[in-house]
Amino acid sequence: MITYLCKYTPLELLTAMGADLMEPNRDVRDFRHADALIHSSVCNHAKILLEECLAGDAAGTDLLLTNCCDSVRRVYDTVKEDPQLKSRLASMEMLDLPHNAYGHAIDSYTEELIRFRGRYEASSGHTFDRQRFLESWKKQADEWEVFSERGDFIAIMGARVSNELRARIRDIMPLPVIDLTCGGLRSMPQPPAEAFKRSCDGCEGDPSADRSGETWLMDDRALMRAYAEALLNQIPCTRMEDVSPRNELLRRKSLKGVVYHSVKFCDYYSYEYADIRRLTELPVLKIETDYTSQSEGQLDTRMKAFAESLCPSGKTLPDSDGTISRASNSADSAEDIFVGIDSGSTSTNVAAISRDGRLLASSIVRTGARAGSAAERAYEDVRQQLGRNAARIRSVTATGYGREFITFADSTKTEISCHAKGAHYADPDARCVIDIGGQDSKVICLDEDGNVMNFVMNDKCAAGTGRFLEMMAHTLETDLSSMSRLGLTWKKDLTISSTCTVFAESEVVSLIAENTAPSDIVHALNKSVAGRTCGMVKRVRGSGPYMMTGGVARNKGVAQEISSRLGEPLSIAEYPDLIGAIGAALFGAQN
Amino acid sequence: MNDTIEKLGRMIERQLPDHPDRAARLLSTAYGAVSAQAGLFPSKRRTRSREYLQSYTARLLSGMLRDPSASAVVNIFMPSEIFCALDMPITAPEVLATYVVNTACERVFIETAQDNGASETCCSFHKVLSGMADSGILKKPAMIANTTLACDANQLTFRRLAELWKVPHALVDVPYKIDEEAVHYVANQLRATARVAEEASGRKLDPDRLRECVARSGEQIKNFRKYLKRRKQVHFTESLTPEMLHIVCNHLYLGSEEGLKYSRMLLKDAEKAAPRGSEKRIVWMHVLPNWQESIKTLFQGEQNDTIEIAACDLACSALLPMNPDEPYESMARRLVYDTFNGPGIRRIQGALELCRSQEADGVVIFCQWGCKQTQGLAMTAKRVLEAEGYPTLVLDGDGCDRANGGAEQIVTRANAFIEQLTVS
Ligand code: SF4
Ligand code: SF4
Ligand code: SF4
Repeated sequence: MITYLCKYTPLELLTAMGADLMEPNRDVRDFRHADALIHSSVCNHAKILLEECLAGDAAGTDLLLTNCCDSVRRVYDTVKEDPQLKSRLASMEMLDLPHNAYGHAIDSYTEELIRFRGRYEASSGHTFDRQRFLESWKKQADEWEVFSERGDFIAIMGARVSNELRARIRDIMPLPVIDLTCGGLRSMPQPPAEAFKRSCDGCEGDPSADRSGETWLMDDRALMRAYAEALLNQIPCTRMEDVSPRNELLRRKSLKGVVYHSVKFCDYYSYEYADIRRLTELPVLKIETDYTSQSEGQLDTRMKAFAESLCPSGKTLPDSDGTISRASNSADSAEDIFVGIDSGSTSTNVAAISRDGRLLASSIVRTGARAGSAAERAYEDVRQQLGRNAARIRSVTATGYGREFITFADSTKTEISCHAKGAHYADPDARCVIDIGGQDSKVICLDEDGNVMNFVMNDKCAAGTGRFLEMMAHTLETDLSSMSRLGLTWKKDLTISSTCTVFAESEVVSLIAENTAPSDIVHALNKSVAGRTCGMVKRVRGSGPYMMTGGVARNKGVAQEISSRLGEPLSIAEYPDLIGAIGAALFGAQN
Repeated sequence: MNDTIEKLGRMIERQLPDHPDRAARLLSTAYGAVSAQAGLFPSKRRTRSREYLQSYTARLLSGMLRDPSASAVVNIFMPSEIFCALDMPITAPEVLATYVVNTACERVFIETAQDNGASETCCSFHKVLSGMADSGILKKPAMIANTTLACDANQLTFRRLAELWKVPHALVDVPYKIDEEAVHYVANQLRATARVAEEASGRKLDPDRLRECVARSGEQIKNFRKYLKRRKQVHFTESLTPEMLHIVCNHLYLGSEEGLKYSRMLLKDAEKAAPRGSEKRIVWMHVLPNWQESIKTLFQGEQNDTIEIAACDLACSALLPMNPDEPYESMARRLVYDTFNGPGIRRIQGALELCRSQEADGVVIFCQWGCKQTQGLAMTAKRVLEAEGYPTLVLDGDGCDRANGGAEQIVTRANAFIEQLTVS
């Protein structure tokens, strides 16, 4: 069994020698083996390889890598230099993959393949079967041709996705999904026609002649060279010198959207995402994973929001449990009331509105450990406020990360769509919504009808969120509302250089020790939050008019900093924490 | 950090968004002043060689910030002789970033790079360079060139710079396999690079001048080897910044008169230096955080008689003889046989040889933020080196970004290591 990673691996050659192939590509729970063997900042996918070699399916197999990236090279070194680790594998080898696909690079990859073939034949006892090789190559090329002619699709691009993630993307997206990452579909061109031709004296044109004495017309080296060229001329990954064929792919009419994946600590797939955003109008969703199953919830929310934005209006997508939104079908009446519940990680916010969008009642409670019961409490509070009118509630729509736990909701919707809806309702001019909540922050770009054009959410860490400010308030021994005021009266322009909460905290502690005025520290912290937020705005190419929502919008210091960085005024929603809930309620009313 | 520098850093940050030209002038003037100061008022504490090379580097950068139109931006492994023979000044991310962090304005460039798509986990040297290009403070040079050695960051940054600046880009693909076939492949690519450089500079490359440059680099390398021999017997009070200079000089300044002159001065400084005493000697792997006062004082304090850095692996990764009659093959061989190329064990063995020849007491592996090539090797290197009797410290830090400096933890760990060595 051969364990491989890269699409430039000569899979057809291996098939022709009877090898079984395996690609270790699963999510893991943690990196308990890898972290003991290699620095934690090496790419998580490369670390998967270590996990698999030690304790997973790759143990006992022949490992065949390409000289892809620093992380893969170092994982290879780690195994190779550790006799114990090495003994877990039957053999290991690394092919020297060139960085370009012409001239000498093809020659050198040809030699590499021929040498490898010889070694494998010797060690496995199998011989290279040319007929099988050509069939396998042709099959791969056919697959690519079929893909090329198919209809609308969504592509997964960027760094490789795990099998689990690929399956989830396929489930959620409204169109067929094609994986074009390192482990996905290989875009091999067809073998040259010459390669199939055989000659045999006197038997041309005579189907009944004895063909046992036939020889191939194309000599072996020429065939291997054609193969090396075909391998190197697949749609390149970003490791390669010339990446222009990737841009051609992006121009395909049938490509309707891209899920762009990056892996924690992989740098290859960073700039390209920004370029796609800059150069095309394609809808793109960027996701980053660390090859563990930890962030599934947040990821699903974002993918569903993306799917919602791709979906032609009116069509409702199945939610994660496969049910279609159950909108209330009661008779229209001016008295109808619609409730939205935004179940966030810090607080659960509920809004009740009339059909014409007046806010009738609202409640904000801390979410605590159980999203469902917090929602029940807040909903009950709203019902109390509505009194007798509570009977006129026509629908309850849940949003936010805990929406799946709210069993009494009639339908659910992602917080991205709800925020967009709520923000558009609050200020129809707004084109870019900056939402900073307790544990996450997001930036959403809207069109003039309030549809989501583009969005980003922060990654898992607390930097740049309400939680960050809360922790810093704690360090400064003050509270959030004093912090909001303090941030406006600063004198000395200081900078907190660390964005990581832990490091930032130690900087704050040193500043306190140096007797720095609290207002100056708060201002520096506000700048740090504003810096991260404006970075997100730039990433989605947001432009004004801007609106700020979420609990942190109440913090005047932060709002002022963001506005000054953007160089434009920032409207603050009247009920900044309720925007998501109002949006959810509006979706209910619309249905 | 002193107040003036911090003020300067803030001024540059403020000017940058709307007036990148003004910011560039500020920085250029600052480096000009640094250069003049080092040249005119050499510090008594510093060696003459150090003053000389710092002054030269600052002058070079000052000029490039003012007008880079005749120069090239390259990665540190790119053979410099080609550019030298065409009179094209060159610089590399490590040099720019090291100067920028010492003027306290790296953050703004790093943020700019990240806003424009660089990943947070990418090497900070490269982020500073990208950010400088994105923000407009570093205007487009005549060309850019990079090797695939020694890391992925080159591949990303330089391709992006080529798109941004729309200037000619030469790429030299250095195979992982180390043999003469690879030398031949690389030599041909270096010839192609020379053609790109000819076109970009508008000058013809004179083969005699190239030969001269290659001869000079051969002599510089020879001098450095002599210096290393002598280094084993002496004690230097300063040992951190000079190693950073060696890295730059043994790559970017090969072939130049200044590089050669530096190697001669260095040799003289070493000959004059006091004989070594009881100080512990360290071999340093990779770049050095020469902005970090706390680390600097550990290794180059005035009363420093406990520990010093004897050599750095990145400065000694390819000290090979050069043959002026085969300039391209010689340069190619330097790349292919560099200890940073190929399997990681070569780099570990390179460090081990330095340990032996320098009679070192221990090794520090500096894991530059985002440098998977070093981070990924660190644990294996530690195991191998320790098995050979060299206690090894793996230090996470950043050569040019304060935000990843983690000052306290890094000092604590370095101190504990020094204690460990001095007790034994
Ligand atoms: S990035 Fe390229 S070289 Fe690396 S594994 Fe993917 S396809 Fe292969
Ligand atoms: S995800 Fe990126 S860093 Fe990781 S193995 Fe693949 S190409 Fe290398
Ligand atoms: S520090 Fe590492 S990643 Fe950065 S340029 Fe040097 S080798 Fe490359």
